[in-house]
Amino acid sequence: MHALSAALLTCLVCADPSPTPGPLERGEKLLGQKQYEKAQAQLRKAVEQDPTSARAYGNLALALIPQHKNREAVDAARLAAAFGPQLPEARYIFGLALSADGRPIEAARELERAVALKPGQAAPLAALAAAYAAAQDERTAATYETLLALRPADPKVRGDFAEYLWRTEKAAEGNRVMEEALLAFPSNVDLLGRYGRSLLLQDRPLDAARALEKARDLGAADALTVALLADSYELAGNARAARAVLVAGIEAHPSDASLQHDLGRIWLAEGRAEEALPPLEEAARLNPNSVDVQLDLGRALETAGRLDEADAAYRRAVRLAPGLPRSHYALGRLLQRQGKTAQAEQELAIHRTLYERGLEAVSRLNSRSAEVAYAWAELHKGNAASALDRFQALAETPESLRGRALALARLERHADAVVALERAQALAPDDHRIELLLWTERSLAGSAR
Amino acid sequence: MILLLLGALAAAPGGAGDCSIQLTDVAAQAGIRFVHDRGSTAEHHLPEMVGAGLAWLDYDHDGWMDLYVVQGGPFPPQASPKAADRLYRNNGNGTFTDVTRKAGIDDTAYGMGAVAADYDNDGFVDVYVTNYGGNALYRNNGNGTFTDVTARAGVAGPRWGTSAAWGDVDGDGDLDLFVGQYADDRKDKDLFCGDPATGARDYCPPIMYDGTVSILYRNNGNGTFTDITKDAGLGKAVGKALGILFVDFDLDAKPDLYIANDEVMNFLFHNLGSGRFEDITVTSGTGFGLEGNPQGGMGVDAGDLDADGLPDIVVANFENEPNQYYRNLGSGVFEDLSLSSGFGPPTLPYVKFGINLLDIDDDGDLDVFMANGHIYDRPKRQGASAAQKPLLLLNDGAGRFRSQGCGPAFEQASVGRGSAVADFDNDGDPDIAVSNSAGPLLLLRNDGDHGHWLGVELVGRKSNRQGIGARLVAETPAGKKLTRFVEAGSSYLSSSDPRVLFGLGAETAVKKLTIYWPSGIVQVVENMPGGKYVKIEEKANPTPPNSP
Repeated sequence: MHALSAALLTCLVCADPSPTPGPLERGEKLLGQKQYEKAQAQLRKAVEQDPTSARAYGNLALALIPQHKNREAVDAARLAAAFGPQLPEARYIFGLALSADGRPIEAARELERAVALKPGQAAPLAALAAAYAAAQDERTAATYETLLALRPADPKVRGDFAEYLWRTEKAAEGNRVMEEALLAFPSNVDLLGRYGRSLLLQDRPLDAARALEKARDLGAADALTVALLADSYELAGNARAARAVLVAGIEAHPSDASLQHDLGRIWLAEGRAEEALPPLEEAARLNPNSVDVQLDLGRALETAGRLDEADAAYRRAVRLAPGLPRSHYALGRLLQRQGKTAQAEQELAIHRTLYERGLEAVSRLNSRSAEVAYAWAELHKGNAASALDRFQALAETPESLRGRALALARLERHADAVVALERAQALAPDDHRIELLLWTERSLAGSAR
Repeated sequence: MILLLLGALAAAPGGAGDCSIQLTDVAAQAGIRFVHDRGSTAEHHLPEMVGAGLAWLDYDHDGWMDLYVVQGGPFPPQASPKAADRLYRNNGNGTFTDVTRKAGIDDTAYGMGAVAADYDNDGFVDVYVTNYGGNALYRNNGNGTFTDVTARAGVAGPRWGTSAAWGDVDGDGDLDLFVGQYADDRKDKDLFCGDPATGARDYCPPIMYDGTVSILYRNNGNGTFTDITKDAGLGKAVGKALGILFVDFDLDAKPDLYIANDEVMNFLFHNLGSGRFEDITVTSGTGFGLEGNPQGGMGVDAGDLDADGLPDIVVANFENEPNQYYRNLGSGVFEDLSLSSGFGPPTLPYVKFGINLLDIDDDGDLDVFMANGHIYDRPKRQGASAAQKPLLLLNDGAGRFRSQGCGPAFEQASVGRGSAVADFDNDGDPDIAVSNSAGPLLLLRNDGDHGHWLGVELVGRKSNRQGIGARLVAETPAGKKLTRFVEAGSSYLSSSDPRVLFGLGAETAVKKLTIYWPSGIVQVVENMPGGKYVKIEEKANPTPPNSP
């Protein structure tokens, strides 16, 4: 964002040079120095001096966005676009402000205009690709491809494109983009880290470990990379390597509670409570409000025979998260072991109630998702009528209504699709996919009439 | 670092280094060429991933253990030769003969499990077979043939039987039958699991299906059975039963009931006598994993792992869940030692199904065998495969375990499901049969240097004929006490050799054997030399108990 803003700022300055520095110039200078609050004050003065200056409004918006004053930024940027309708920079800023405000569909519209007014500019195209991605617009991939052609030497663009593909469950395509990026930039730590994270999520811990290990060798020493690398090794079944990574990580980040916790947790999983205790005690000292840490600490203490301390740790966990079944289970089992039957039964009864409630919810959720998946599979197979039947049999949720609308659209029943989408939008007003579809279907329904 | 990682995975099951015994698959040379058919379809129906089990039994009373093997078949189920179960007769010379047709067995249902026991106390072992779509009871006619008596007995059960077990729950001297029921898969037709974009299906996880209530049949003693599930206090136990076990955890001579459920809480029911049970799952601490979460429970077994005379319970669980070791503390309470005993950690990468407690090297403590294999053709986790090696955990005598591959059987990956133990060659060490999903059956013969041994076969008189449910305590001249239990139905969809095998290590005899019969009779036999199988009849005039 900052890099893009700076590029835009230069252009606006160039558009209207001023011999003596006024509030506008002072604001722009402060903006360049990333002193956003002060820049905002100067730029407010500038718009008071010239309430029709696209440049002043645009820069004001740029000062507001980093301060997360998104609504105000949108208002300022809207005026910039109104007073400079043919200025691509004004459209670009408006698009940026809308994106920052979580309105990617409107942002995409403005950014399309910016790109059309000044083709071949990478920054607006990158913003457009990001807006399309956020709106889950089908044009995302093509936009990234164009951007890649324009900026082949920009690793960030490739990384963003891969991330988009992973997010939209196109893992293989995302991996392909990332592997090409890594061929071009084999030593890019950011790309390696992003790839490692994604591979871990794809249940490919061996490959994740390779990528993250390389990132670490190239200098990525942050705690997150260490934790992910250890996770990768642990998931690959190599607890010894995971521990070694964590021990080294703790040396570099001694006050990182999560690394200490991970190390203790791994020892505990191997049944080595004595070794687990020191890092778990340290994790509890660093982060006393973590339920997971308290429970693991309690388990290590219990295994080591330090029952009173285990009792205290479990009770802390119960206090921190009274609705968490496993805290009650751990405490109940310990109390039972200590012969405190009445108290134990009370805790175990709470555990069972919470467990049964959770089980029912999870079961219902899972089963519903498989029913929805069936309907989608029918739609993808081209069986629109069968898909429609299945979507209609499901309870009305944003997803089932969206599916219903898509099936109706395939059957050329655009007006019915609009009705379904309007109901979906009422249930999920912020769902950009529904908004996008609704636009399309309204227009198709209108043409049909 | 990467080399370290890859090396660790390859070495996971442990090498064959310091094993005195070796297990080798001899199925083909023994004449058993059974290949399981799971009837896999593009639709990926839930029953296809369950696999099947097997049962050891001496059906012809010749002193050699024969083998009943359950077949799946095409899916949806259709009676066809491809779906036929098999009975293999042990020829007593290391080979087996397929006698299915001669024995009159004609089970062509989509099979799940088998459990053998002499339910009618006529001295001949019968077989109960669980199926998807109707179970079957085959009565042994005593002349090498069987008769399907399912309809008369009234034990066909509802939709989907899995593991089953026999036990005299009401103490009337005949064996009652508990039949596990898995999930209600009727909504399969409305579920899609896999990739909706390509339409490629995979199996839906069991959490998506509703659970069901398993069934307890009381043996009426006249060839018929009565469903007493509700009266017994089991009617509200909705689960997804895969592993079933009768275990007398409080040593009161009344079989208690343990049920391993898939992805929901396991159950432990305490037998109150007269066929009534109370649910003590929560207070016993045997329902969940260490963190209070339900596990993907598959097979189950029980035995005295720490030599304290009490039966402990073990459960085989899904991938990334350690196998459970619930140590019996007495008073109806169990302690979860899955991690601290070394029992669980080596099992984490595997999908465990069959689980058997057995003294593999006859050194006097119970070791653990596990048959493993994934439920998915292409497991999602990198490095995991559908075919997995079996595991053997050796006991140090005090209930601490280490993983150790012993012989070529532990280098061979397959999609393991049911497993059952028997000394099929009567050489005094336990051998193992493993049913593989969509693969050939394994017969793992145990060879090498094992300890001395004594085998005991019980003949009940007041108790059920095979002494199912009895507890045996053998005391060696050096004062070591070995406690063993007689089961009919354990592991996963399977049942093992009902004879009790005592591993004596360096000792050569049992000084005193105390048998606690299900009837309440306590019988003592003294000075028994090892190296052979001994048949012991329940005595009408019991010796007063002088052993705990």
